[in-house]
Amino acid sequence: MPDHVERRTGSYVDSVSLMQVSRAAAGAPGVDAAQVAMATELNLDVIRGMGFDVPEGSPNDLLVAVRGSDEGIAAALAVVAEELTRRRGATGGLGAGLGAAPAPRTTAAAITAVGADLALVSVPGAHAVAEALDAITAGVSVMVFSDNVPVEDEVALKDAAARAGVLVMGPDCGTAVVGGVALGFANVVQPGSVGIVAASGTGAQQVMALLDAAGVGVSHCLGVGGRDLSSAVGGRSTRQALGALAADPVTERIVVVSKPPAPEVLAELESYAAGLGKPVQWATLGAGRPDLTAAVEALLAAAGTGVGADDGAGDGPGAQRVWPEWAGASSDEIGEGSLRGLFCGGTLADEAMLIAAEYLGDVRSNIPLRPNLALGPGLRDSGHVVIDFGDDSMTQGRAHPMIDPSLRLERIAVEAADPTCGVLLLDLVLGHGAHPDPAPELAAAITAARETAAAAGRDLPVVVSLTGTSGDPPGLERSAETLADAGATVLLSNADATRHAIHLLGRRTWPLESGTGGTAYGSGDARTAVGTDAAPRSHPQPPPQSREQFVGVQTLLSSEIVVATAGAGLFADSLRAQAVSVSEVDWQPPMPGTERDLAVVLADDRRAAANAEALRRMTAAGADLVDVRPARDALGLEVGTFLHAGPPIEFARASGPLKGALMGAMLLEGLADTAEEAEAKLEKGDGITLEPCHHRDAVGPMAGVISPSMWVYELRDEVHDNTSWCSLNEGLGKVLRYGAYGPEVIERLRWMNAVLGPILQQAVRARVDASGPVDVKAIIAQMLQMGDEGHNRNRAGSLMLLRELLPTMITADASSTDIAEAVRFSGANEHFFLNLGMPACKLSTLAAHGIPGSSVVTTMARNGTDFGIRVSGTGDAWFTGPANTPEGLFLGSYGPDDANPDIGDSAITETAGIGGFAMAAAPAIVKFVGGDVPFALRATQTMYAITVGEHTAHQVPILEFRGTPTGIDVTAVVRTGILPQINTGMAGRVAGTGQVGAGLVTPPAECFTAALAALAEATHG
Amino acid sequence: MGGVHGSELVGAAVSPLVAGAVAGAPTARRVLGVFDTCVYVELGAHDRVLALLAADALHLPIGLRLARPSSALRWGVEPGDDIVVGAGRLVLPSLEVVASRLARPSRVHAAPRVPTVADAELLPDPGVLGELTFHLTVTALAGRPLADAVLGLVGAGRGLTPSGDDALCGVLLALASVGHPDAARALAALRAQVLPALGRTTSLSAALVLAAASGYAVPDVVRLVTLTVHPGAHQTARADLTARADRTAYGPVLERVLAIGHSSGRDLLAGVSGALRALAVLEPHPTTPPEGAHRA
Repeated sequence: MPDHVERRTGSYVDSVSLMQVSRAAAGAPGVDAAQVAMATELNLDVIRGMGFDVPEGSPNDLLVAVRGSDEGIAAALAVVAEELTRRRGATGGLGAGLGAAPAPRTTAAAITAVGADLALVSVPGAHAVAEALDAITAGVSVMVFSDNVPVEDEVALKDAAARAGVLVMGPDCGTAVVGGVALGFANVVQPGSVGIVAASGTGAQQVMALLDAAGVGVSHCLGVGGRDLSSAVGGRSTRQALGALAADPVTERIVVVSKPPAPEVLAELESYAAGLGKPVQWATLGAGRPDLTAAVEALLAAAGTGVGADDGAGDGPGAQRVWPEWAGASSDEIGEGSLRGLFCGGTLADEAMLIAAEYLGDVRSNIPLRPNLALGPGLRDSGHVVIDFGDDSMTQGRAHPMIDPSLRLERIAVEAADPTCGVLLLDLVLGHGAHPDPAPELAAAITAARETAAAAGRDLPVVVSLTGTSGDPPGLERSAETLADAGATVLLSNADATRHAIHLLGRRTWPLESGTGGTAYGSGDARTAVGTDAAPRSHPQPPPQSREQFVGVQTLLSSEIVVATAGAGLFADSLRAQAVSVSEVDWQPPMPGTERDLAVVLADDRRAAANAEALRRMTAAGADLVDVRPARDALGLEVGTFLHAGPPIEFARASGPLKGALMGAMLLEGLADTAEEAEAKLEKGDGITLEPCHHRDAVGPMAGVISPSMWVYELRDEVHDNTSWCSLNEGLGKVLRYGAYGPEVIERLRWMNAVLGPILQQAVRARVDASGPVDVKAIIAQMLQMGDEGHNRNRAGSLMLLRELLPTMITADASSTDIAEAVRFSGANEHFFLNLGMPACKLSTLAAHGIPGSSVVTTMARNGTDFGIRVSGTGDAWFTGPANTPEGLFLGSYGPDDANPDIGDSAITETAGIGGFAMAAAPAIVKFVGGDVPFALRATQTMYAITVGEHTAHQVPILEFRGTPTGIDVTAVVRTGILPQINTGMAGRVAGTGQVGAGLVTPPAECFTAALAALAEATHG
Repeated sequence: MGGVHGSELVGAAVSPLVAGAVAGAPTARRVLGVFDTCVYVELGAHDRVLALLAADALHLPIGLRLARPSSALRWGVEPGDDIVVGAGRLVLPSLEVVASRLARPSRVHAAPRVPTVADAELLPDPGVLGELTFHLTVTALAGRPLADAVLGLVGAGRGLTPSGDDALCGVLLALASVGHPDAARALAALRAQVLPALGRTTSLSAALVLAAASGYAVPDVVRLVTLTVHPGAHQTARADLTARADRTAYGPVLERVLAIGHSSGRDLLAGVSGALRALAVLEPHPTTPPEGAHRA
């Protein structure tokens, strides 16, 4: 039977969840194989490798591949559906009610939603920087679990964090404990006074487990990421974490845990730590340096706390300590052959190799101490071998062995049958994040391995280094006994476990030689006594920084935490299980191919201030109606020049409605006598100039054609000294702006030029003289409270405008018939106000234009063919893409096939934060554009995710007078994939048709990705 | 949201101040008060109260804090009902709260620094409560009898936590935040006078005064006291940048503290203010070591 393979778009699920879904689906009856994964290159290889034929598509698609009987496939799909729904429920949760805010889509939004003081980011590495920067910008520390973050991004993040007084834990940080809350892989520890700074996850867990066994509690364990002590990163987070712990009143001593650090970084940090006023112990692995156990012993000695000592007298430095140990049947056997260490913890594997190398010589590994000791592809060798199953190369496409132990269990069976395997050394790590009860499965594998060896006439001694605390869920004692019952010797200290394994190979290592424990340290406090010897400063320096500047970190360490999570759902689940308040980001990958540009633009430190300034200007801009004049005077339009909506376009590419409107304008201006002649002249182009309205700070609805004789409203923003213009509204139906150019259209335009324009001019001028200009901004604020959204519903606005103009219209110097007709025409037109709202919005966005570094959109406009945007920080460049066709409701017998793609400058309303962005204020709009009332509320709520802030004057009553979402941020659009919601009229596709309906539309995504690329380019420059 | 059939299990972070009662033998306990975001439960003594707190509740130091907001919880109890507390659980009709973690409530720590009048001036005008707490602190520092001053405050005023108690909490926290032998002596004397008098006030208020006597308070109060008492001085090398950061942090925290209860936040700050004015006359103690020096 054929395989079932499908791509589902727009449904991102994190990889850990998908592995669990895959496993559930593969377990359904009648299923031979099943894989559910995001369509990344890596996963495609895996799925194709399973023999599935996968169609092309985006890496953001969800792939569901199942092989089995028809019933099996159906069963698997049902399991997939059920599992995915269940997982989504966790994020969707309570957000389903009418008017409820949608789930946050960025870390910034999640932080704001609950006042989080820590963010936990576990999205794929390429996207982690954006989320982490959100936290730093919000003044919140962040733990980055994600790996594969470029080192230059790590440095940039950590520098930004130092400036903000917060801490970056990570990238690739799997372990932290903040105020007793375990983040990622961590153990349940008693509260206490030892603070841990950890560049190593399992290393930190080993130290915590040893401290716990010694009855010493932990204040905090701050991860810093595996690369923090490298030359490239220069200990930036370690420094930050040390400073924070030094200022933390609960912490009395500090221990730094790391894999081998760069010597100059270590020296630098040691001299920094010497000035902190608290003793700092260095559990930094390396050849000739003490192991983790020795470092903990030194700390305990310095603190005057013994381990397993019967009397307090022997607790001085050098006193022998006895760490917990559980003897199994194999503890007296002597193995013949080589050491085989199979580890889940990288640092534990490192430590084991460092110790083993002392006694056994070369140890081969997939994470070798020296490159020449690297294992080949099969990871087999007849000599001493240590394998880290948690290494990146081993976890591609599968969960970490601390969650899914299958790969290591298989290898245990292989070693059991290998006569060169003399002793098996295994680690097992308990705690949060790990498999809930891993001992029984490992015990079974050990039993089976020993039986296999026995059957072959061999002894196979097994030693397990068990890292855990009595508080960990499966229980340290119980887990240890389970393993001991299977024949293993179990030790809490990984160093002791390694030495014991070596001992079982017949080498003399036991008891611990005291010489090793003391090498680099002498007594415990030696490091704090280090003077101010100048440390070598050859590596890149972190920026100068006051060591007291840890305000943000202090907040984190001094109270119960509230966490925002982005990425794998299991972290949020684990936090909830610890009764921690969590706000989960409904994270989706950004638009494809934008990772680098996003990282660059988001890290631009001008951006936050530039966007705040843009928003300030947008909300501060005024909009006063000061005059009505012919376009030739107001805009200096010459005969033959026509302004039009949207980005620049030549006549040949123009859509039907724009062509029709231009032809009508030719007829109006007397440049042609017939439509055919007009079209021919426009095609030829002689003496004719087409120019976007926006290039003259003007706007025009739909086709937006303005010719010299047409009259325009003139609006002023006195705050920023800007002026904008817009044509007079012709009403609905067959009108020029919708591309109609019949005789009745031209006739109406002539009347508007001859009668309406002059009367409005007199009315506005008289009004200005008598009581000042008409405050259009105030009308917009008011109309939003009266059920208008200012783009497709302008009823209240039109009535209020008429109220302002009537007194001076009726006293204008004109015949009473003309005045009556002008008043009737204006009053009969529900969109009378639109042509004032648009230039008011233009003034708002114009004020925000041209701010270097700002990613705020200042123009969205369409010409019926292309959709174009302009952005504050990229000047006058247009970023265009093919305009979409709106979906909505149609007039009369028109249908979807009659509709032209999106057209008009009226999207300036959305650009300024009204129109589709204010739909919640105008629920009645759905009768006109389609959708339902919950949709209208949701539309506005959703737009908050892509805007810089809220308007101060434009408010939505039903959202408790929340300001409308204002200032579209290109980076937010690209990150969330949420496109601006535009309410719009629909023009007929064929020239001369007029309006065919109204509906909803969004810009094409490429406008935003192109704008982002230009912003990134501008940042480099 | 609670299931109709049986009760739902919800994890809670348990304050060490009430952890003993939660871990102890299951005992029927009386519900004292029920609010949208919290439930108060007596723990067998007048000044021992447990607060069951939704995620959006004020984080009282005597709490069992749930990860869920009040919108996703239904308490299903009335004041006067009995619920079972013990064996690591609180059993409500529709909800079973399980202690899943020991919380670390915010606590004021002593800094080796004498506050100045200028510190107190960062806080709002304390009014008459400021006068009363100033005199109380002066009396305590001088080692004179405290009975009258304390009895004038405990249980005085309106509210579930009477104003006098809130102010008293402020004094206790201010004294705990100053690392000076005279302040420590005054704190001990005040504590000795206050604790026996707590029968004069409501149980909830008594429990919160008891917590404050050990330096525990809601996180924003601790943060504000710390920002008021600690800034700048104990680190002479402190950069301008940090001082600025502290100042920008101050406004919002102050606002949040003032928003606590009807007047509780304001009354508590009056106590802090009065106590700081009194403490400002202290000479820096010659034995007061610089931060961290005692480790050397």
